[in-house]
Amino acid sequence: MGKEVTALHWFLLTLGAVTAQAEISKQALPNWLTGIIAVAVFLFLVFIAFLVNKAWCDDSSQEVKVEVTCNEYAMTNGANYETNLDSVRSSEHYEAYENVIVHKTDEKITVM
Amino acid sequence: SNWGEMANSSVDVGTRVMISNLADVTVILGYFVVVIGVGIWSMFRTNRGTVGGYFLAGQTMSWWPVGASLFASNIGSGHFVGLAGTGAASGIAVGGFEWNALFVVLLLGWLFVPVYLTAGVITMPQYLKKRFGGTRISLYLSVISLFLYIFTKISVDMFSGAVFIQQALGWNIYIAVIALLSITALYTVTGGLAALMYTDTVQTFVIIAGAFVLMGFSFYEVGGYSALLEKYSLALPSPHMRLSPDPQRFNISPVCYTPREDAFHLLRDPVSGDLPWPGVLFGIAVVGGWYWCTDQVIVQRCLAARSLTHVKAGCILCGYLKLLPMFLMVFPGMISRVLFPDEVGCVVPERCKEVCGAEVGCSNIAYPKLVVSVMPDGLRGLMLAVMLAALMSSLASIFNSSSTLFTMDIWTRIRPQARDRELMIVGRNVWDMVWVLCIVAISICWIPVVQVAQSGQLFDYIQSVTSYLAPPIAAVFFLAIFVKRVNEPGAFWGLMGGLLMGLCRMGPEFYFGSDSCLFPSNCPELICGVHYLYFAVLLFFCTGALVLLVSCCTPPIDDKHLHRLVFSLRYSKEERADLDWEEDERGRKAHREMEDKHKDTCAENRTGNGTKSGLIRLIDWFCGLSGSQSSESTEEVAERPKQLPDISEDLVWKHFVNANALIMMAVAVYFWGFYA
Repeated sequence: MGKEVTALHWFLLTLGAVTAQAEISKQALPNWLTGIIAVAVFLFLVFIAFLVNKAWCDDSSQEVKVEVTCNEYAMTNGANYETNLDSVRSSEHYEAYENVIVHKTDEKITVM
Repeated sequence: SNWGEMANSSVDVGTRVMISNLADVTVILGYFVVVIGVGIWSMFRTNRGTVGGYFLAGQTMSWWPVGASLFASNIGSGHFVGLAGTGAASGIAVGGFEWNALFVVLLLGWLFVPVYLTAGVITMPQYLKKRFGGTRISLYLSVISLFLYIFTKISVDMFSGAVFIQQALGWNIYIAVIALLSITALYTVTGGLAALMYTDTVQTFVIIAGAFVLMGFSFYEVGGYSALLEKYSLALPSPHMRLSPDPQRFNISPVCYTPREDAFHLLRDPVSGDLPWPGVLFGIAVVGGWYWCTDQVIVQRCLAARSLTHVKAGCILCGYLKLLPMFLMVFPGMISRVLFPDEVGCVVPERCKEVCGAEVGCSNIAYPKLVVSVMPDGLRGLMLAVMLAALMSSLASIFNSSSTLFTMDIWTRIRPQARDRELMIVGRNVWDMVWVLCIVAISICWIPVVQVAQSGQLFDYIQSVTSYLAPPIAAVFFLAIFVKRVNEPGAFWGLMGGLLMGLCRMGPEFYFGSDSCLFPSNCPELICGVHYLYFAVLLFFCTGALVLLVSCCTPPIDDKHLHRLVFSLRYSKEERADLDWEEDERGRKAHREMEDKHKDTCAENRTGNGTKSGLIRLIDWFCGLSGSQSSESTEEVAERPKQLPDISEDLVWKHFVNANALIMMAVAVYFWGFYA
C-alpha cells in the first residue's frame, strides 16, 4: 500500500517534471516563430480551400456548358441551318450525334 | 499604529484630487465652453433636422469613413475601463475579444451585408419582418435589444464614466454618476449635444490619439516592452496590503494576488483557464456574430456605403484598426498594475473599498489611474474632457434611440388609436421623458451589480450578459439568411427557447453572485460551472436546432416571398411579394400623419414662445431629433423598393478586396500565433 502510494507520488513528480520541461521547451520556441507557423498553416488551409473551390466550380461550369450545347439545337426553330456538327453532337459520346428529327417528331404529335 | 498609518495613507490616496493644476482645469473648462458655444451657435444657424441625415448619410460614404465609423462606434469608454481592467487582472487573453472580431467583421461584409443591401432594408427588425412576416419577432428583437442596451451599454457607460471622475476628482461613484447625468442634461438644454453628435467620430479619434500618447508614456514609465514581460509577474501588492485583517473570516491565498502565469498567452487551458481557448475561438465568434452582423448600430454604418466593394474595404480597414486595442488598452492596463500594485492589484476587501469603492477588486481603475497619474498636465485634462464628452453623447444618443423605439414600436402597439392632436404630442413627449427617467433609474440601480460582477471585471461582465442573451439572436439571423426553409414559427419559438435557456443561466448567476477569489459563490456547479463562452456556443447550437426542428414541422415560406432576402437568392431579379406589405403600408400612413401633427406642434412651440424655458427647449430637442429621424426613415422606406438595389461588383476590385481580406486575415493569424 505504502509502496504504491510512493510509486504514485514518484509518477506524479516525474509527470510534473516532464510537463515543466515541456513548458520550458515551449518557451524556447520564440513568439515570432509561432506566429510564422500559424500564418503558414493558415495560408496552406486557404490554398486547399481555394483548390477545392476551384475544382468544384470548374466541374459545375463544365456541366452547364454541356447542357447548353445539347439544348441549343432544340431551341432553334429550324430557321437557321447549323453547319457545325458540334450542335448535334451527343453528350454521351464524342463521336456520336443526336437525331434531331426524332426530337422534332415528338413535338409534332397531333390528336388524330 | 501600523494599521492606522496605513489607513490614513490609503484614505489619502482615495480622496486626493488629481486634477488640481491650472493647465488641466483650463483645458477641461475650455473644451466644455467651446462645445456648448458651438452647440448654441449651431442651434441658431442650422436646423438640427440634418442630424438624422448625418447618421444615414444617404449611401454615399466611401470605404474609409465606413471603416473608421465602424471602429468608432464600437470603441467606447467601456473598452478603456473594461479591457484595461481585465488586462491588469488576468493578462492579454481579453484581447482575444478584439482580435476575434477581425474575422467576424469580414463575415459581415462578405455574407450579411450583401443580403441586407439587396433586401433593401434599413433596420434589422424590418429585415425580420420581411423575411418571416408577422410582428412578434421584430417586437421581441426590439425589447431584447433595449434590455441589452440598458444592461451592457447604458449602465456600463455610466459606471466607467463615473470611475474616471472618481479617479480624477476623488468623488463617490454615485455622486459622479449624478454629476455626469446633470451635465448631460445641461448639454441637452443648451444644444451642446447636437454639436457633440456631429463631432462624435472626430472625438473618438482624439481619444485614440490620446491613447497612443498614453501608451507611449506608460511604456516609457515601465521601461519598455521587455520590462513589462519581466515585471508583470512580480506585480504583487506590498506585504502589509495582502494580510487578512480578519483571519477568522477569510484567509488570502497567494493565488488571489499573484498575477497569472499564463498572463501573456491568448490561448489558455480549456478546463482551468479563466478564458478557455475553445471559448475564445468559438464562443467569442458567436457573441461577435451578434454584435457585428445583426446589431443595428453596426449594420447601419455599412448600409450608408456607396457600394458593396466599399463596404468590404471598410470592413477590412475596421479589421486592421481592431488590432489596436490590445496595444492601446490591454498592455497599458497591465502596466498600470505594475506601476500601482497596491491600488490596481489590491486584494483585501477593506483596502479595495477604500481605493475604489468596490470590495471585490479594483482592476477597473487601471486605465483611469494611468491617465491621471502618467499623462502630463494639460493633456490629461484634454483626455478626460474628450472622454467624458464622448460618453455623454453616446449616453444621449442611446436615450434618444431607445425612447424612439419605445414610442414607435411599443407605445403605438399598446395604444394604436391616435387621439386628440395636442394631447397626443404633449403626451408623447412626457412619455418620452418618463421613459428616459425610467431607463436612467434602472441603470443606476444596476450599477452596484456591474461593479461586483465577474470579480469586478467590467469586460467579463459585458461579455457574460451578452453570452446569455445574444446567441439565440445570432442563430436566428444566421439561419434566416442561409437556410430558406426556416419560417416564422421556427424563428419565434427558437428565440423563446433560447431566451428561456439564457435566463436559466443568468438568473442564478446574479442571484448567487459570481465567484470571487476570496469568497466562492454558492451557485450550483451544474449551472454556473460552465464557462460563459462555452455556454454561448451551446446556446447557439441549441437555438439553431430548435429553429430547424420547429421549421420542419410547419409549412415552408414560398420562394416568391424570399427573393433577395436569403443568401442563395441574393442575385434574383424577380418580383418579391413582401410578407409585411399590408402592415408596412398601414404603418407608413400612420407615421406620416403623426409626423405632420408633430411638425405642427414643434413649429408652434418654436414660434409661440418668445422666451423659451429649459423644459420647453428639452421638449423641442426631442421633437427636432426624433422628428427628423423618423421623416428620414419614412422617406427611405418609401423610396427604396422602387429601384432594385445593386450589389454587383467590378471583377478587378472584387478580387482586390478579396486579396486584401486574405492579407488582413494572415496578419491577424500572425498576431494570434505570436501571442498564443
